[in-house]
Amino acid sequence: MLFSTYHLSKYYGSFKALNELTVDVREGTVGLLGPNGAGKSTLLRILLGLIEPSGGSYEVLGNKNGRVAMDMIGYMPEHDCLPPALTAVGFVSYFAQLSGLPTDVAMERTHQALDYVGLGEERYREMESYSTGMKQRVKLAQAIVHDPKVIFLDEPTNGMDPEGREEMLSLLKDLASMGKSIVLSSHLLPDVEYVCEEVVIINSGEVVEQGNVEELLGRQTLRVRIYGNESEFIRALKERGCSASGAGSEFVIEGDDVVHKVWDAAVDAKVQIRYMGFRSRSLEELFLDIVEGKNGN
Amino acid sequence: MGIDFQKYGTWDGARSSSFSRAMALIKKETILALKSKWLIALIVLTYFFGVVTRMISIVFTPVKFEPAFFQGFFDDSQLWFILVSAVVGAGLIADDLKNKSIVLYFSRLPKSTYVAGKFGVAASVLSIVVLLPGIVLFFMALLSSSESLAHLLDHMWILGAIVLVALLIIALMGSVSLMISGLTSDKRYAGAGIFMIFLLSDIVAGVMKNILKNDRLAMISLWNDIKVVGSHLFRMQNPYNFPWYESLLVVIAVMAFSAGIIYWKFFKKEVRV
Repeated sequence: MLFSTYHLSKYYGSFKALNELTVDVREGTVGLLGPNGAGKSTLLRILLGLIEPSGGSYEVLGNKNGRVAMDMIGYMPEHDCLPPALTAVGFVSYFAQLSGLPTDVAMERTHQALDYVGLGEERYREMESYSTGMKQRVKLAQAIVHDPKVIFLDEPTNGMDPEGREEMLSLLKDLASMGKSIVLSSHLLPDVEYVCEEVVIINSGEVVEQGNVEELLGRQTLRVRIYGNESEFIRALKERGCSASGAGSEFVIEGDDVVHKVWDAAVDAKVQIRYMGFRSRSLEELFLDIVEGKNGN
Repeated sequence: MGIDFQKYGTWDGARSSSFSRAMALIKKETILALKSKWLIALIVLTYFFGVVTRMISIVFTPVKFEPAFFQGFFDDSQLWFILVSAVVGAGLIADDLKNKSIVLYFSRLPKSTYVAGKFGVAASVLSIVVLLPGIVLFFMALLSSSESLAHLLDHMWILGAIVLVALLIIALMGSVSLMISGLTSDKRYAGAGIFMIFLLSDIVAGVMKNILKNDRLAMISLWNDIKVVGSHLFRMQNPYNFPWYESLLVVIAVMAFSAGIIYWKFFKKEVRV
């Protein structure tokens, strides 16, 4: 198991950042999704051992409360965190040593990591002169230099141009292919969709959806546009065990054997079906449906 | 045969101990601190006024190999020690809070290793201006002394006193610097705070002692406390009217208070960036 939480809570005064959050996440690539203030960063910071939970417990890579797993974890924070007066080589090798690598190994792996993230001769320049994209690359290099098993990334493509963003996402996919687990917290849903196999959606400090991205997106929904009495149509659908959401005359309908049930409901409610078709949801649609409570559950 | 570039991959060697990691922190940050031209200038001035002038005086007029000569070095260099402490101590934690790299440390190191490492940086730099010149002076005075061998052998304990007084100064200044640096993300405020704590305690002690005519109030000055404990260690007369152990208690209390603040700030409270 990559990480597990059991009734994990975090309070800031009366505000519940995490509300008895219970989740089990297997090793692999995992996306943490949620609106601002949902509790993603709080969860990440607790898993990293940076803050203490108010209640509950957690395990990272089988280590209770995470601390023993420190060497197995790499962390790339969202915010700027680079000491301006250091060069990338000095900074990454220093943090490699802090992670327990001998000095010579730290220097060797620093150059390998900086090559890997695509930082060339600029690595010998002081970091205060770096562009945002270069800083993001250095942050990734320091997170992977000590060969962690799992890498926690908080908005890794923030401030990067489209080309840099694509390169960063490709690097993350490549790291995953090396067997490293990735926990990616991002508000850019296409990033999560591109990199992650699994997604955990958090809202108001609780897990509202969790599962394999393909499976979640593979749930096809039936889109229907009708002409006639909408409320009567919804009632007829509910009688047949289908859920419907939408506004006006357009509905998204989920359920088993949904096409036949829609026809029967239309007959019952005496409405015309003007359009009917299956569509897969994007992660963005799934996210909005869940977070805004539009999934009809 | 071409050059074989090693690519990023896995590494399965043995990781170093917590102690080695703290040492890596101390080494790196001490080197960084010593790149400051202000600090180098202060170190040079400390040596000039504390060591070079005394060595010149030894050459012209052989000094008596007595404790007063060595305690004089600590007393006369007080201002330089405080300035070095303010310059090196100010950015110890404040810089990590300012550039938010503290979360990277805490994601890699136990907080106790981080705090111990940072204290080690302050202690290393302070050793250069407090401990090292004291030892240099001792051996210079020993080599140039015209005293009898018996007298010199009788006064070998002075080296121990020099080391103990230096360690006391380093421990006090290091812990106060660490505390102040951990309370702000602006190293200018931290530097001013460190300077003011030592200077203000001296001024307040002097004013109150004179107004209230109470010798014990001299204890408020941290430097007076060091001086009193130093006098005891150098087997000299106590300059004040209170026992040396009370001064030692004040110094220990200040160090404990600093450690308590650091504990509260980094272990009890959440470090927010």
